[in-house]
Amino acid sequence: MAKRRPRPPGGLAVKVALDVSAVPIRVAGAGRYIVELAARLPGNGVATTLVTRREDDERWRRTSPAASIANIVPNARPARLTYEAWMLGTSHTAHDVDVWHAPHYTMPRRGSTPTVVTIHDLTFFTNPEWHERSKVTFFRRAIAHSAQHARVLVAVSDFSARLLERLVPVHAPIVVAPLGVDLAHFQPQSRDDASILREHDLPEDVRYVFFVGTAEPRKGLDVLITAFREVAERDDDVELWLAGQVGWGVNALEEQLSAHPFRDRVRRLGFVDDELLPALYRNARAVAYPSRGEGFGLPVLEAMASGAAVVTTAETVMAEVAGDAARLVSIGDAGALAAALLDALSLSASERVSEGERARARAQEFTWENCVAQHLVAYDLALGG
Amino acid sequence: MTRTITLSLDQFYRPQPGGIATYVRGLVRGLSSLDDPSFRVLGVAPRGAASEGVADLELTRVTTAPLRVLNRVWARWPLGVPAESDVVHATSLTGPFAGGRSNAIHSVALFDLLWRDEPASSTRRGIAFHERRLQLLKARGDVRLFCASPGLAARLGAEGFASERLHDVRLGVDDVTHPEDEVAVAAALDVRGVRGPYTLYVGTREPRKNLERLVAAHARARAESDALGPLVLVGPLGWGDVDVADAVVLGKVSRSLLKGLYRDASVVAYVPRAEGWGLPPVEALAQGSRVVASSNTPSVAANTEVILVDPLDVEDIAGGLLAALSVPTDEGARARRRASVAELTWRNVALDHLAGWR
Repeated sequence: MAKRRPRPPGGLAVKVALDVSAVPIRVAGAGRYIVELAARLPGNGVATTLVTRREDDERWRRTSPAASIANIVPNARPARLTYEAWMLGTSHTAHDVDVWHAPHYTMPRRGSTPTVVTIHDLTFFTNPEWHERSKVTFFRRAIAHSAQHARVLVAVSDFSARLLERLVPVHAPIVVAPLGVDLAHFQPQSRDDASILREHDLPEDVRYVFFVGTAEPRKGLDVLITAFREVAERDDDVELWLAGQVGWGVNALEEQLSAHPFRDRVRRLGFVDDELLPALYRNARAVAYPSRGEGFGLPVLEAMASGAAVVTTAETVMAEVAGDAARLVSIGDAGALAAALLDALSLSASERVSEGERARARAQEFTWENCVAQHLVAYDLALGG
Repeated sequence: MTRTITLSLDQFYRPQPGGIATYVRGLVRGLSSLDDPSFRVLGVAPRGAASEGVADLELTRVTTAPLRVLNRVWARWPLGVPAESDVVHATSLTGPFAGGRSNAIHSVALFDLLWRDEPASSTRRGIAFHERRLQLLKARGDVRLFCASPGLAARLGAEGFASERLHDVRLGVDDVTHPEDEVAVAAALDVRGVRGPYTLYVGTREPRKNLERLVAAHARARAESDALGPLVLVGPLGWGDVDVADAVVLGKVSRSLLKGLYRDASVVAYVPRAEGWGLPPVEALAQGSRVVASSNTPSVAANTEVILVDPLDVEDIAGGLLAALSVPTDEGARARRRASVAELTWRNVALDHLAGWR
């Protein structure tokens, strides 16, 4: 470990570099978290430098006009990760800041800047089968390295913090910073939903169960599609709307869908933009998020903020987020998922409103401002405060 | 253009809000009483439940992170401070010391250096916290210090704080509560067996307040003149072992009863070993009462209407109590005592602050 640098006196501007180079163009999940931090840190008095990919600086200037931009990271993924490991920590940018924040598992392997690393989930250890094999080895090593060398670790939930301590030797304090939700963007009141849906060629008078998330094995889409058979048999007109990017391991899903007796009632929306998403949550009769495991499960929070009836999995971080404001079913239990969805579909209009209010109230406990506040605690700890 | 003044409200969310909360409440009332459209007042508050009511404060409240987070991060980052703030005023050493517009004025209220003067009254952690924040402020030449007790600015000046950063501000004692009438006061005392004259102490019961010497001095003086009556103690239990012998403990009382008790007391005695400012003797003077106080109580150290004594000398305290009995109690004398603290109004406090923010 290189020598400690003198810490800036309290009250004087503290310079933080936030490495945003891992965020894809289409933002989801962990990417949303990094975007929110990037946008909000400068407004809270943090002199922020965003470390971006070389050809991806423009959108970050728009995201966070008050931040400085260091567009120094190569664009291609392998080169990017190598550059982060061996070059970034000794870069001019790293020398110039007081704290380096690596918000997605990995951290520079060289350099002396106190580093804060965010760990999202531990499924690379607990459920390697949910990930591509090459990523499992890489991220396991990255997490173990960060747990040993970061000055401070940030976990996005108590659930992840507990797992982290259990699964790898941790040599740094862990600050829990639950993610937030934009309560103004995701809200129960319609904002001309009918015309937004029409613009996207979606019907406004169809009852549907909604799922959003990147299609990959851990999301439990297979369980949802199985459950939908029973749901569709008992409920004559309900549809299943699936949104999100294609991840990996989707061949089995495609086969399952093409053989599905109610495939005509399954609508594939692909990636949906920020404008459409709240309308989809609001108008859904139920939002299903049967994921087997996540770092946080942001869609559950967004759906609750939108006043939706949510069905998600027990014994996961989603249960921590949802509290008692969602229906919880066991992981992989298609029968239980179908029953919970049918229960949500049978709600009267007034029952739906009162459940929606409860969900909204729970979601209001999760704000991005609180998430940022916990990061300031982490940065202060990293400075030796 | 309307200027936005942002005040920190963290004190209301601490387990014992205490004097700083009284100051913030008074300052807000004073600012509001000026009815000046050139500024508006915002309060930045922690998330969670307040220990003392904040809903009635005449300001717009914005809520930010939990108190434990603010305690840590406000030294460096102005979490929750609205970007439109033209003035950011930290009402305690917790902060914040930054934030608002790029040309915003930053100030902090400082009441005393009690953690140094009376270290036994603070925890080691508390002393370290206050000392660290003071040193931080020393390094922050852009933050103005509003010194709320006489002599404090001079002490900080001697420590190297630039004089142009130091502003004296007064504290107020006026409020809208009317004192209980004599019958009600007598009835409240009668319940505790007190009939006739009494000597009044107001404040928490803790070692710094020097109650054991006061009790001893009172016993000695009362042996010479029964016109002092029994010693009546008002205020909450603080901490530490304090032997109050046969003094009559009334504990916490309503504001209106407190004012009546001040007014009707034979003598009001307040002789702490060390004091940041010293509200009780000023409140007593505001009711026209005869007052004996430690000579080192900043709020009355220069007030000629008060009998000043050495708090470490029981004999001197006893002498002061007896001397107070010969101070006139006619309406003219009472009016003089009231006049000696008449300028200590929250309206004047607000004007002092506005001058400091210019």
